[in-house]
Amino acid sequence: MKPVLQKILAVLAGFPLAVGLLFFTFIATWLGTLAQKDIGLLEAQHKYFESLVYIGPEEALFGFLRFPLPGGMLLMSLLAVNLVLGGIVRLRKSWSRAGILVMHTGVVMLLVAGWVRLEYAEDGSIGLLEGERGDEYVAFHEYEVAVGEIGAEGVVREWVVADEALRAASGTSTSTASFAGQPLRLTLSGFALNARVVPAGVMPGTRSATVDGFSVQTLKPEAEAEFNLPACYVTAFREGDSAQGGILWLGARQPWTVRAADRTYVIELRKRRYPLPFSIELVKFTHEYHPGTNMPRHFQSDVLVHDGTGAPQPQRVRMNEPLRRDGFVAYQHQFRDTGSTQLYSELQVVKNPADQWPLWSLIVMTAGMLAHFVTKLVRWIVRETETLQAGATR
Amino acid sequence: MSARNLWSFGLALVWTGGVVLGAAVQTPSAQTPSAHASTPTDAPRRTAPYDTELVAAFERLPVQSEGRVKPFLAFTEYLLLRLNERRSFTIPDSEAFGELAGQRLSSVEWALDLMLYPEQADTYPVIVVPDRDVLDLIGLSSIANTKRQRHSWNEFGPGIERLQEYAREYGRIEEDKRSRIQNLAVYLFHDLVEYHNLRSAFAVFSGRYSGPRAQIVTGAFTDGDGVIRPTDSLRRLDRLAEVWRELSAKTEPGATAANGGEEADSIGQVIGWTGEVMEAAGPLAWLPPAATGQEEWLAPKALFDGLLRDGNEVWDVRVGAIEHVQRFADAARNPVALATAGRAFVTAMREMSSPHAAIHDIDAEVSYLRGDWFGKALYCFLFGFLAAAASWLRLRSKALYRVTWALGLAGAALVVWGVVQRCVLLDRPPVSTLYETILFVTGVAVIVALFIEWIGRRRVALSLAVLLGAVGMFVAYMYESHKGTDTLEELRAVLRTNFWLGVHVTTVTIGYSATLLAGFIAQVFLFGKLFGAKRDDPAFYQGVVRMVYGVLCFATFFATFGTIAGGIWANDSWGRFWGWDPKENGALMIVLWQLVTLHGRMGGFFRNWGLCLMAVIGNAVVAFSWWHVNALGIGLHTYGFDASLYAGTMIFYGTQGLALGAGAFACWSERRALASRSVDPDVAPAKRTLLADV
Repeated sequence: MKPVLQKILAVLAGFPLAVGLLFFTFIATWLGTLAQKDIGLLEAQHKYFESLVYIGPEEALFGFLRFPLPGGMLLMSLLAVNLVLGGIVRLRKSWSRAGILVMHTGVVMLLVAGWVRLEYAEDGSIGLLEGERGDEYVAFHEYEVAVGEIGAEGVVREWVVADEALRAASGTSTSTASFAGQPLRLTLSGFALNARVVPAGVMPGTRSATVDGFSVQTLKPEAEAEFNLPACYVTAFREGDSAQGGILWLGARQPWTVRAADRTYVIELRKRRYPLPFSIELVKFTHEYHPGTNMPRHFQSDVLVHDGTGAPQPQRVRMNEPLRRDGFVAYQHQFRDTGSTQLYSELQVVKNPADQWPLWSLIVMTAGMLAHFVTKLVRWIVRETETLQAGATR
Repeated sequence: MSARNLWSFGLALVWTGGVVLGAAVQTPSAQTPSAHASTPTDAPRRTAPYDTELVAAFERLPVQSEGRVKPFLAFTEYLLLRLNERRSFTIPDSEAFGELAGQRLSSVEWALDLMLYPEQADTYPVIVVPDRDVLDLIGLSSIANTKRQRHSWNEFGPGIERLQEYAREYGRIEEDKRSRIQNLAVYLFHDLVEYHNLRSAFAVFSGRYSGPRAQIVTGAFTDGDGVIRPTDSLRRLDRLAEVWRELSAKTEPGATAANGGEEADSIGQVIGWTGEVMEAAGPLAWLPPAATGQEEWLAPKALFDGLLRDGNEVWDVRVGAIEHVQRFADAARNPVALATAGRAFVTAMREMSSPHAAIHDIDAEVSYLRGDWFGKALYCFLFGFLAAAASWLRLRSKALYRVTWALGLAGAALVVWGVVQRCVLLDRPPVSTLYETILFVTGVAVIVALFIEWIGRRRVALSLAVLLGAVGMFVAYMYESHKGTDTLEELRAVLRTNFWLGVHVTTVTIGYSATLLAGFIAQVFLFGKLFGAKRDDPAFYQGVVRMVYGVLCFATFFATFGTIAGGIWANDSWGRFWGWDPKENGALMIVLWQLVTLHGRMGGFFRNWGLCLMAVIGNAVVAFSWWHVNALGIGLHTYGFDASLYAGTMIFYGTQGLALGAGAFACWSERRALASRSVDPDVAPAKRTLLADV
């Protein structure tokens, strides 16, 4: 058993695996970059860089040749193992290899930072008009179905059906959601990531299911995933009453209204919302263009941060200078001139536990690379000088 | 809207009559003041060269264009480059051009001709049409059939209107989805609009009002010779507007001459004519703003609007500038008076602009443009390469070696000086645009190659330094000519002021440069072996391989550092370290390829041949990252999109493919020859599984 384990370890720590992994990571990066033209960045990211295996290239060679190839997740996981075993643990420890050891440690830190970002980070945006205040941000690529009970003063309680349950309702599958103590149960089906609602039967590709003469027509996902408009069918089962069918669509102007046991609910499909532990109030938005052009030169948001513990704190958010607080970072993302006196500013909000890890890994890697490559440079200069002197002597 | 602004708006409506409003692209003819403008029948012609001081003064005239204040020289150079694909224009050696035949005009001299002697300049064949199909498209088959690529404004004639229709139609199609001819039609029309805008920038001010004059108009202009010039009207515009308002307020709509309508109409006609003249002077913004805090410079039309809005008290100094231009335009027939009036105009404008910080670098920019450092560097490198080539033929010639060194160093110094001047002028790191990457990549490659030569003295790196310097400067020249836009351009907000951005672009570009250098040194190995050069000197090839390896290590350091620094910048700007954007991926691919090569070398999979072949592929990887991704038309921060770059990239891939093929063939030949002798010194005796033989 021991020799087998040693052989496995030798393979996992070996140079052939390292070179192979780096080569296939190169191939995945190349094909994933070209694929963005056909399937958009987000789709390419999932398919090529976050997968174990993918079939590529997107445009088949000679019109028919495509291959199963290792995906980014598999490659980078193995690379981390290979680095730790071969580049750190089994690396012959000597002063001449100290730089390599440090360099590899930095790369492992970077890979771990990337994994933490992928698994645990949340991001979205918060858009505010001047004078507005917000305490939640909206995800870019995640969705949810929100069910709100209407009272005398609008929505009094709210429940959500999460993104995972919504996406599970695609194809022939359905998702069911019930809400404690409420006389309402929802069944979701026919989820499409990008769709539009059309009169039934008028467009090719329209699904057979219809609601009030309308169907969900599935569309190709947008290259810019933010512009996708998902849709699904929903059936509301009301206590003591018949079921009612509807269509939920991100592009709908109004939520769907359902009455059940003398209660009124509004149901909508929307982008997922995440709460912030503080609220942001946009006091003033300033923007400048390069004179005589429509090219932005500078834009910034002056905000007040309210955390409920004291006086609101003023903060300026501008390009390359984000607001950092409680593990969240808000970046000046974009703005819109609404044509009114009030300007609209959008801040990108990110919660990433590994926020500054890449910087630390860069410092470590740089130290290692400097130690290693400067040593090599000096050796090369010495050798070349000696060769030159030997030639001159001859 | 205040009452005053309301009146201004009413006045504007009076004179806008024939001007096309809301058109996406204004037809050149729409801007010509037609109403009541006297057209000179005997247009002035230039017969003598310009006074050199006048030209030098105009080079330094501050104007605002493309978001920044720049010298007139910069404006005209890039306009002429767009139109003529050259920075100067030589008048054809034909009798039709009289005394000026064969004269070479600088861009400013050509612009002065266009502004002061438009009828004459309209005969200059200065507009390049790169494809005759465009001329056929707009019904100009007669000139399409000539061999010339350059045509005069007059030759376009009625074709301009057809071109406008096509440009409008094609303009609705996204740029990367248009055919080549459609793109050329759109670009040509835009170029002609710019030509026309400059054509009328000064000449219109020599016009005279020739419309109806009611008694009130005659009474208002009693202080001169009775002739009403644009500035006569501008000097009293607020009073004229006041009178017009009073008369209009008293007059019923549709009033006739009998009840005061004629007087209001007559005043309105003068104001309207003045507005048309100011509109026809085009969008060239050469009037500094009234207050020092303001940044947007004014075209004459904006001055007219300002006078109506704020009154003469605020804007009278700027009317003085128009008077200078008017005197300058009037002096077109008298070279001596022209020189005096021109210099006085530029002096007045520079004084007027002096409170504005934006003009402080004008003289430095003129010095940069006139210096043409990169053009001079190109010549140094070219001659250096000739000297290097000669020295290869006569290997022992120390003189040629020294000449190559001197020219290489001079070229490098010129590139560095040019890049430093750009940094000072723009107040930003050396690399922010695609054009700047060419300069920087070339400069770094040359300096690193010269350093290697200084250490090793094998003549290989020196020859490559001057060759790559010449190629790099030529590519920079071609890119600039192809784009035809100001290379000292302003940047979008996200590309300004960030430490990590400056570190990233600089270091990653050094990585590009060194990777390319390693690839080209490797080609010395491959082609040397292919052609049997230095067959008896294995130490030479060992030295070359050490160079390739050393430069690759250098490249790996900078490419890796630069790529991660880019991620840190992205994290600071958008909150994400890595977004799989094509440009990011391109940089990562370079790093990965270098790591494959270096680890392959360390693992014994690649030896001399393998290392050199991998380095050549590295060149293609750099081309993908540097140029190809820009042609993909996707990504968040890919800069310098240009589909036409695609062809150039493909050609480069082709050359590297040839080098790779030639190298592989040479490797195979050598292995076969050695195998026949049962000796293979380049293959390690231990078992090698993966590419061990290469």
